[in-house]
Amino acid sequence: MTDLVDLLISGLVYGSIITVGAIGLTLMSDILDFFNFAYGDFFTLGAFTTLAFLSVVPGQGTFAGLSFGWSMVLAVLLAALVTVMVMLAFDYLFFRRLRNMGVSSLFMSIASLGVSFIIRSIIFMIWGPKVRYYSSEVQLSKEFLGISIRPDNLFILLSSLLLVAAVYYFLKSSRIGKALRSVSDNKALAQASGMQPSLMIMCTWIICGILAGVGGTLFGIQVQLNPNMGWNFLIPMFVAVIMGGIGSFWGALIGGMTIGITEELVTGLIQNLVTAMELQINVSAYKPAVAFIFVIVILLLRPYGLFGKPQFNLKR
Amino acid sequence: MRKRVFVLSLLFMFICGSLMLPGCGTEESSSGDGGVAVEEGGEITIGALLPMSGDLADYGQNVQKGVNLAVKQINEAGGPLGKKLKVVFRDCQSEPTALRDGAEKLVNVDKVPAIIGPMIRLDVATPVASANHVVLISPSNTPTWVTTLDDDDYTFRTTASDAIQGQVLGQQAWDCGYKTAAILYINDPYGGGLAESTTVSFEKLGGKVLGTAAYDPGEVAYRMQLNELAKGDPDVLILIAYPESGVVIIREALSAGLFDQFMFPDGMQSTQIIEDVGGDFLEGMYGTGPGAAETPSYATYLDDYQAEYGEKPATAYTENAYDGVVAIALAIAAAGEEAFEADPGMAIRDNLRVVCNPPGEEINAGVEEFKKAFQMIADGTAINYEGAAGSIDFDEYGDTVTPILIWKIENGDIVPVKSVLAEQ
Repeated sequence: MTDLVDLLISGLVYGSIITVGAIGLTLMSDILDFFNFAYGDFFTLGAFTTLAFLSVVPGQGTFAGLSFGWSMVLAVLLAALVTVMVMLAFDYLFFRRLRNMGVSSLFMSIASLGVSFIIRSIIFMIWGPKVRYYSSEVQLSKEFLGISIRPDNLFILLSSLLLVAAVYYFLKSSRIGKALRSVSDNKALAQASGMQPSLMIMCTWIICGILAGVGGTLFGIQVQLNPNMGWNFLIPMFVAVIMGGIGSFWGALIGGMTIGITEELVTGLIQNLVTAMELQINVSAYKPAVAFIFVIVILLLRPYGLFGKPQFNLKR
Repeated sequence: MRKRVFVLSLLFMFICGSLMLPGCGTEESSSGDGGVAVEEGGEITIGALLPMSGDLADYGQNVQKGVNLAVKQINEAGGPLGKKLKVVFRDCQSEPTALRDGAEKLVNVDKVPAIIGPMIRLDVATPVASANHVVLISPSNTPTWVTTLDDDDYTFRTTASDAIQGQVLGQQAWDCGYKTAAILYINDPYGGGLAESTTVSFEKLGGKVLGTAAYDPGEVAYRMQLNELAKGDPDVLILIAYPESGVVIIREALSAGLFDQFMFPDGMQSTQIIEDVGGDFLEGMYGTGPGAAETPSYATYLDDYQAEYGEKPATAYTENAYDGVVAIALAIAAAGEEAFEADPGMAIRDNLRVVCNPPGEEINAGVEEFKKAFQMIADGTAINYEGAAGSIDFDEYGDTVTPILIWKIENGDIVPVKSVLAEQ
């Protein structure tokens, strides 16, 4: 039983990192109307800029049993700011021009693939291919309410929950958030009612930049910093977006959590079953495959995703 | 308008291409004009296919130093047939696709007759090389199946097979006093083969492997495998991994309190793991790797390496790569004019055993020895290269039996304990 709780926590942590990324990605895919393949590398950029700031901001040392101190919070905020700036710069120099030329979504997506290579190369040039960690200390698990958990994991869960709630509140209640949602519902109508597309696009980039900056850092805390981390993480994020339905906040949330929990918990259950049947199969090495089979089943039942608008994956 | 978009996109693709830093770029220029690599004009170019980025970047970058040292010394000794030896490096990014691409470029673009590398996955590079009569000498590809690759005898390695390493790893686990063990291995041909030979060896001595699990590199969490393996409370976790994911696994196992005793094979023989895990959690842990016995050849190599780079080799396999380059250079010298004719690759292949295997005068590492070797080859005297990594005697499959090193982590450093020469 404790086994399953361990796996559930592990899955929740993984899922919450995917969710933070997937919410940004789903907003971007919907409002900017293309799949931004560079998003994963913005994720990496966020993680590495946090590392850079971590050594210069005040508040070093450790705090409340975490493997890092207050400096992490400051560093993350600065890193999110840098990520937003870089995103806006790329939009101004590049995506804006393409948009004004009226190119298709497909072309924009391919262009973003190019941007992803540029960003990754810059990261390789600055930080090199070596794997890094925020803290060189191994953190031992502690008991909370009878559950053994690492304080860092708790931090990841809480901060992603906070961030997701903040984004939800923003979309739901603020003027700009409402405008964004109306653009998502019907672009032509929104434009006709006087919404400024350029302002909407800028807001999207800003929200996504913050999510990428923080999400990348959370990934770095949980695993490691690696110049390819965001690129590799793009697959679970995209799958969460597609499974939840493009443009859907709740879809991204549930999609992300589902993938995280399935990979850890469901694979664990299958492994127990296989072991009980005395079969010599290592299901554990095929975690992603197990999660993706699950996703395929969901998409077969609902091709436009759990919360998607039916027109999205069908011919428009 | 359309046209402008098209031109822009082309321009963009070009910029992206040239910016792709970890790409398959040539790191050191070859003979320049591209033509046939074995030139009459005083230069002989061979290739090196190493992981300069990705999971094995740490190894690749150090092994490159071993290769460069060998090239420098061979040239100081006058070079094979009085010609200058050069190496073209290509990055295989620790990835099979890039590896195949790199092998094809070395064979078809650089037109080299022999290649040092790849460090892993000879099965990917062999079909490209052997079909084009190019010799491959891997410094580190240890799996057992390398022995039986269909390679037309073009594939060699200067390290021992995992059948031997597994035997020593299992033996060492038993000698450390562990009675039960769990094995976690990377889900690739290297991990699977080594896990199997280690299990056989450990259980033959009376130990018991309580659980074996595989992992996929780059995962976010390895909790599932670790929980599974901790059942029955085994004495030690034998972690057959590479540092990048290996460190994440060790940290997770430690923080969850599931394991505190580890043993490692060659894949983890890197000071990086001690630094990245942090603290002194790994203090006193043992591991195995390729390890030269304390021969004069190895002592010379270590001195020369230290003199050249101001440090001792930071990862394993630098001496194995060094031996590979030397073997090729000596084979070129022994082949004589044949090394410049229609099929230089075949000439090198046919002469590798001539210069490396007994009988013949023993030649050790170092500039002076190489001078002597070139002179003796010119005189028609038989030689037998005794490498830095081992005696480098290629059997009928292109395999060598090099000693296995047992190492220990002491005061935050990897310290050699002893060298074991196992029987195949």
